[in-house]
Amino acid sequence: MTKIGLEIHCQLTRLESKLFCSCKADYRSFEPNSNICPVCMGLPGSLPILNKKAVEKAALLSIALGCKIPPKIGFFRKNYFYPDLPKNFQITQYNAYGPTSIGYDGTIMIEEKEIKIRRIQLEEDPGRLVYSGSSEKTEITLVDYNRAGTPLVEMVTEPDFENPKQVRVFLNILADLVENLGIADPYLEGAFRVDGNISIEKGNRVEIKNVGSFRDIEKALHFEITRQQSLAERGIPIPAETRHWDEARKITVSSRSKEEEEDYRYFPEEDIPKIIIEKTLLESLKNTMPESIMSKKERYINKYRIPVQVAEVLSSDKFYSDLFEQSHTEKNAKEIANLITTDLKGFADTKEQREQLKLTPKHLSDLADAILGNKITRNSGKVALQEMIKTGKTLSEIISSLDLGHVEDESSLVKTIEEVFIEEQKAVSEAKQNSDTINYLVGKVMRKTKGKANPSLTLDIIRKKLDSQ
Amino acid sequence: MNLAISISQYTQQIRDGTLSVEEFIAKTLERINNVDKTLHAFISLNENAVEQAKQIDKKLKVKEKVGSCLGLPISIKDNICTKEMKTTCASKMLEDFISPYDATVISKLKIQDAVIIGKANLDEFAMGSTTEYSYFGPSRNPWNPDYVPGGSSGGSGVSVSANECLASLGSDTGGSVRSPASFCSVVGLKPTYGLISRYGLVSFANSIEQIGPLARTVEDVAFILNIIAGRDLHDNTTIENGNPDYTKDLDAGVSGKKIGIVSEMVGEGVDKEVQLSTKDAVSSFEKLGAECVSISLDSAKHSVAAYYTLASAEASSNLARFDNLRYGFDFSVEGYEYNQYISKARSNFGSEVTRRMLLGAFVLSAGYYGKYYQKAQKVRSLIKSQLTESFKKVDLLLAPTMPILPFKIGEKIDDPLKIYLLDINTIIANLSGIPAISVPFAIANGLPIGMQLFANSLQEKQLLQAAHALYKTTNLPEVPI
Amino acid sequence: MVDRKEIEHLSDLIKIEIKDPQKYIAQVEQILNYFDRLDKVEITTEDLLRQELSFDQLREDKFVPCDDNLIENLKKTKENFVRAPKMD
Repeated sequence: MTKIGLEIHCQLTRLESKLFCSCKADYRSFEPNSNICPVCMGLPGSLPILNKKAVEKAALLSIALGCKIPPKIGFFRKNYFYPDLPKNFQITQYNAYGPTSIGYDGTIMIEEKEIKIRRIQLEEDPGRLVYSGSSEKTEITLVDYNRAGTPLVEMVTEPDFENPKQVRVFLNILADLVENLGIADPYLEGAFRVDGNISIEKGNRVEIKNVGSFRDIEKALHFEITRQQSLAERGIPIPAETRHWDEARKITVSSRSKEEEEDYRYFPEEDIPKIIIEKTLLESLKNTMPESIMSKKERYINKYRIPVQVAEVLSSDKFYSDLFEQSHTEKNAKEIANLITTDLKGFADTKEQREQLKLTPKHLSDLADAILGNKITRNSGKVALQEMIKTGKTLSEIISSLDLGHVEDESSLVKTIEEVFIEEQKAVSEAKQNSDTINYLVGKVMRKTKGKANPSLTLDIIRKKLDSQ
Repeated sequence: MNLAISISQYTQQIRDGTLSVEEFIAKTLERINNVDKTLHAFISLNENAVEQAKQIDKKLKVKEKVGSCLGLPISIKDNICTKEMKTTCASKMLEDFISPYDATVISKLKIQDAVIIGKANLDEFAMGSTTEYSYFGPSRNPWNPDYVPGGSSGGSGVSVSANECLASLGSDTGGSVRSPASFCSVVGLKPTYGLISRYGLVSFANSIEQIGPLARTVEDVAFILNIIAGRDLHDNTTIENGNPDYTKDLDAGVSGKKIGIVSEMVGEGVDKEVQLSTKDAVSSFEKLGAECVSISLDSAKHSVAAYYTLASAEASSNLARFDNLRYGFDFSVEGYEYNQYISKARSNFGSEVTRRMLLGAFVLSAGYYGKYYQKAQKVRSLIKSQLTESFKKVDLLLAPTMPILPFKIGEKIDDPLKIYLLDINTIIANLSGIPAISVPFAIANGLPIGMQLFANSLQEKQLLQAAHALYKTTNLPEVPI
Repeated sequence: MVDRKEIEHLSDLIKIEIKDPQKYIAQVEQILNYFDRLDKVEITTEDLLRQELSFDQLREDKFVPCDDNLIENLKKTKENFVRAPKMD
């Protein structure tokens, strides 16, 4: 049985300030060492001052992941030396002496598999080393502390994942969740980092670190499983070790075993007293929580009779569900759901596409109404949608400019049908026996009218004609 | 002009116009120039002191608002950050360090127009009880320069005692304000933990230490306390104190109060002279209308072990930041590998600091955490609860500040544990967070003896009243230098 | 309990190069032996009632820019990065 566990570091990018000081939480636009203060630089005499909103956001996440939250939370020091760590200890949370981190013992369902969340903790990000490495050419290391003190939540799962696909699904849901809850922007560079640990049947546990994007984790895990299996097949024992993901070569590489288990000498951070988390605070947080993906999905299925597959896609993508919420009425909800989940494919997949999209909720609503009211065929609707996305023009402008309107005039439709009957005599005689060939004839009419003919009306007239022959 | 005056006498003269700030500061600097070659209370002096004094005189002349300190000269222990002067912590590791920010207590003093006359000597990073561990050499007791002045705030005690300033700020982790106060015959207060902001105090044992004022009278200590106390947004461990005026009702006396004499602190191991002084203090209090009883605090016998375990653990972590990369002393990184460089840079800590960090790393290391650190925390709780129980029976506690008279410089330096044990009477206040004050009480064989009072948390007013009452019964000679 | 190897291990944990570990062995051992008395203390009291903060007492999440020249004043150099030794 393959066992995979994850350790995810997510920056709380929606905060204004760092975890323990008032420097900016988003360090990305600053010149080196210009987003710093005595506290995040760890200057002598400086003291950490905890950010209230960070506790709030982390508590929200803990609630969403079904975690227990202790009545009092506390912080610990993790002691080690590294140039990106200004105090040479990290202020973090630690549950070995009792649960004091912001969340513990949670669960989340991934496609009917239960994944247990061991803990969620608040901690500070270190600074950044700009050059590092052991080449002779690199005589020194350069350190930028702008990021030091940026707020992080670390989430650790039990090794409950059985395969990399479950991991991918989980990470997508988690990324959407943190976005949905207004906690973080997971697609921001460096904001969402995933480390994994993996063991195959009878094998030792291997840690995988330094997986750059969380999309790469699936690749890394696949590679690692393959690597471990090939060792096992040859009867070679799999060493317990830490490996890092080489993004360029797309392989995992053994990290130089520089540490035996490092002794971090954890002990309480006494500069921050324990913080009381009242039940009333948790209640009010629960009430402000934006609707969860799960309950959105249920609402879409139950209230609007949207098919399960469609509801799943619609609810788990915040962009889609926002668009849906702003555009639908009770009557056209199902149609809009379809349009969004089927016809937007390829046009609104990436962040850039979504930012440049000229499509508005009104566009969707008008389009859905027009289709339902038979003013335009679904095929024409597809064309109109693409035009809206590109140009942002209104539906009526597009219908007239591209001549997409239904062939309202029944007599001209009859004329077109008669033309087709003449052109397709063989098909006509077949159609009397075979209903599939009727569709072929309908198709021909649609093509002749450039999709503007009303399909059901066309079908009706053709049938009547066939019957009468 | 007399430098041996109190703050209230000083401020009176300034307000009267019989004294100018510039005169007094100039005279103070002259005094420092005369005696500090011998006493070595100061690591550095404020080059702008006279200029700052002139500015204050100018404001006074045009009747512009001037802060309550009216230019009084105050020395600051060199582990408290000041913007315009170095903060060395008496260590090579911070030899060139100039802090870019002022400690909160310094900002508060500046707003009240105090003049910081210089940075006072200490045991390196406040670790010690005699000021012999300073990288810049020891300070000497003004009562006899061959003797230790106490520590770690030795420079604070000496500068106040020798009339080199009117007050000082020290820091007290295991007795480091009260020990020099006692050995130098001045008043020294360790306030309730959380009363005074530690923002800007270079951390040694952050869950235990507090900044504390030293001065020649209890009234002066109360005056300084008023200025520096209070909740601070820059320090999450500061607490609400109700902002009382600590100088008000100082004469309330001790009539009707119950004072407990800590039996463990007056018996075995205490010098005869100190025991006699304690008996005298008890009679003085009884004459003033207090009832004195004997109180036992048996958890006190574990206090030194618990304190040094916790303080060393915290020190090993608090001092980790000194890797000489962002600030420190001149030592280029070229040609070194990281671990090699910082280990070499950090080899410049003194032996006592190194020793404590080794101990600290040990007691926190995997496998030993429960046996030492957690046990010490439990002892700490025990001490606190015994004290809480005691304060249900008495209002105040009394004990000599130091179990022995000051001793010669160099006498105990080779026996660290012996020096640790000197803290036996002071440490319970640090571990429990309660306030304690040392009052100069007697001179025996030419050497000072201080009496110590303890009160419950946030009971500084009561504490100062009792201290003031005791202080008024004394008639001590002038410092002989 | 405390031998040269232990002192070397500890000095590596705290990153201090100790030229003469011998000097510290006896003193550290003596002091640790003194700490051992803590083991024998019977304690039934619960955890210290130390101060706690309520959620409302925490700092508001606001960006307050700090001194522009902080790094320059610290390093006394115009170069904005902090220089550290090469990493192993």
